Amino acid sequence: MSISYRDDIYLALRTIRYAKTRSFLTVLGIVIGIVSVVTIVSVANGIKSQVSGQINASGKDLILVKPGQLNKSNSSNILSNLSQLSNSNSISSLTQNDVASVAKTPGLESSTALNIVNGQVKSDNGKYSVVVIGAGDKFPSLANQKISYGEYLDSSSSDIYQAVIGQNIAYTIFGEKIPLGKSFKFHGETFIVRGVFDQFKSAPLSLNTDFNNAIFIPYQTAQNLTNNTAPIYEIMAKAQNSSSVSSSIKTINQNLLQLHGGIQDFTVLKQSQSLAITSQVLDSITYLISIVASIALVVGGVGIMNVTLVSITERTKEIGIRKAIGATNSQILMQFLIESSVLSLFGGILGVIISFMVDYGLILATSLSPKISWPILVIAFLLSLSIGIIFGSLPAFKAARKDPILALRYE
Amino acid sequence: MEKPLYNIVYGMSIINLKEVSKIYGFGDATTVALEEVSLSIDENEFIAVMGPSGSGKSTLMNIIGLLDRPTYGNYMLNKRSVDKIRTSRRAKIRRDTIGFVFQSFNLLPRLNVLENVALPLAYKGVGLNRRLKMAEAMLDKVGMADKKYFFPNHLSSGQSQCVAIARALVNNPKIIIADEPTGNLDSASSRLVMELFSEIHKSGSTILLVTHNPEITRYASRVVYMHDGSVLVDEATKIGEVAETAKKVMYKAPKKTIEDDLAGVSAIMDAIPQKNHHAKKKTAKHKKPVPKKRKNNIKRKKS
Repeated sequence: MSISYRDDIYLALRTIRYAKTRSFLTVLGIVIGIVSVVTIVSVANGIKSQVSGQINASGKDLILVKPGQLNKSNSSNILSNLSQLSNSNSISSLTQNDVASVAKTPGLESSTALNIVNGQVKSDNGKYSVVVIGAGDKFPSLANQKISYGEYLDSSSSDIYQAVIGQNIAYTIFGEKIPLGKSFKFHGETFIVRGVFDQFKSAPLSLNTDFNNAIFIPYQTAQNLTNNTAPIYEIMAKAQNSSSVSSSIKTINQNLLQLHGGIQDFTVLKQSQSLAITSQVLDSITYLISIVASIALVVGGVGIMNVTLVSITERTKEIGIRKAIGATNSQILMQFLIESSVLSLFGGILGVIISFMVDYGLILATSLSPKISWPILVIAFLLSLSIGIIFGSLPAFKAARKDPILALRYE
Repeated sequence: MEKPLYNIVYGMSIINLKEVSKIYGFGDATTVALEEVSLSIDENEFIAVMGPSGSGKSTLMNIIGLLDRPTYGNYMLNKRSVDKIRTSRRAKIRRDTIGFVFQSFNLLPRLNVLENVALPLAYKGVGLNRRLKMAEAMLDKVGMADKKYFFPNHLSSGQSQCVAIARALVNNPKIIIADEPTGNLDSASSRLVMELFSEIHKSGSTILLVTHNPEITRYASRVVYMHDGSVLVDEATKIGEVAETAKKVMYKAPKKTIEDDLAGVSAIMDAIPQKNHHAKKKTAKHKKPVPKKRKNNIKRKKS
């Protein structure tokens, strides 16, 4: 190995510069592969950091009681994780008794329940299918959520048909940002908008309903509208101090288990746990899509192999000359191996640059906030480098083993 | 069969071939490129190898230059047998002791003159700065220092050959193998290149030079004339004089075959205007339609 790698790298760079178009087309597969893998991982990273933002916003000590059982024992199984996405809201195993039971649990500072009313909302602008949630008085304080405009629901008021809306749907339904005093029809009753929530911190793709797109009405009103059949979305509770959270969870679970006749068809967990499940599901999806995206990398590798093979045939004479003036087989091997690696790495760099642009576009166009981290970059570089080495080795071996006499005679 | 003339001087010689044969192909398609050639070359000899196309000159050069292995026979380079050593070791010996000069120059088009000359040093592992300095010094010797940043396609053929010679010399090889170095050059450039070889010879190198041009034998100290894979004539000549065998080729009936004409590489042929060339070829065809010797069922190798 006497010829220095620097020479080979320099030569490879020059070869790329000589045939810009060809080099670009060669590495296109690698570029696409790297862009997809980096984008997917960075989007997932972004979502995860949004999720942790959500945890911090609503308080880590929040206790949630959710209908159904979340399978969190087997996080490695992608399919079981994905199946949790389809948790339905229409049927709830939680009842009014459960709400009362949780409220009576000692050691809790406060608790409230959210229920869901199905139906269409009719405003002057048209009909909309919106999640309508019945919420108790303590919802804003438990969810640690502020009102931007107007006031929160007042259950003591004689007018029970009042609503507070999430920020995102204000414009969709009423055509203005602050639709205070506007009315809409729901289940035949006319509701007046009393307030608009501040932006809820929510993570895209999360298991939880996005409150920014929901309308909140008084809990009792929701019960009345549905003859007490509104399914309970979740029960929120807050422990008196953070040290008693787990003991409270245990107590609530025991009480509810008794009410449900020993069947665990509900889940009691901390807010942070609930979101952790979201990130687990997200990890599984990322993992799955990344595998699919890396097929593009393999295709790109085959492209590099193909072009390197052609280039070696083209440069047969060069190989012959190099051997005649004293290049050993391994030096020729190294030359072409480095050339394909540099080509592939060049594709990787291009891919990363395009990924940055794609991510910026996503930030502008969607609610996603992708994050490109150092580990992703390192992985992208290693990935493209190894593809160059793997797919460059066959052509390089072929080049190294050429007969110098035949190669010299080649025109 | 007529035994070729050769002198075996063991111990003295830098190159020693003993009954070396090279056979290509098998069955009906077997081609004998070299047939029991024995040749011993001392240090600081300037050998002109002559012979018609297909006489095995190039094969001989390839074997001596360690690009090829003989099918039979023994080759001692620097008193060491090099037949059975590994390919990578051969490459290193080639790099350190042998410099190649080709008819078509064989400069790498993507490297500039300086880098081309420095390439053998790179394979030896000489650092970048040192090797560029050495290459520059070598270019200075061949009078091409002012063209060091040129690319090969910007050089005339004579200049290209000078650069190629510089590249062959840069490792200080003991042996220079030149395969028709003047074949693509006009007479002025040929003279320039041959003067260069002459100087290299004076500085102590051993030179093996394949040529079709009898005039070139003026520079040689020994002329080997090959035919059908064997050495026919092996004579020592005085430097400055055309060798006797070459004279025959030059002034008497040239032993030309159709293949010679087809190859069209000889300097004599180049000198003849196109029309006459054609006419001569025809007459040659009528007079001597068949090559003299043909071994039963064995075709001669064409290069």
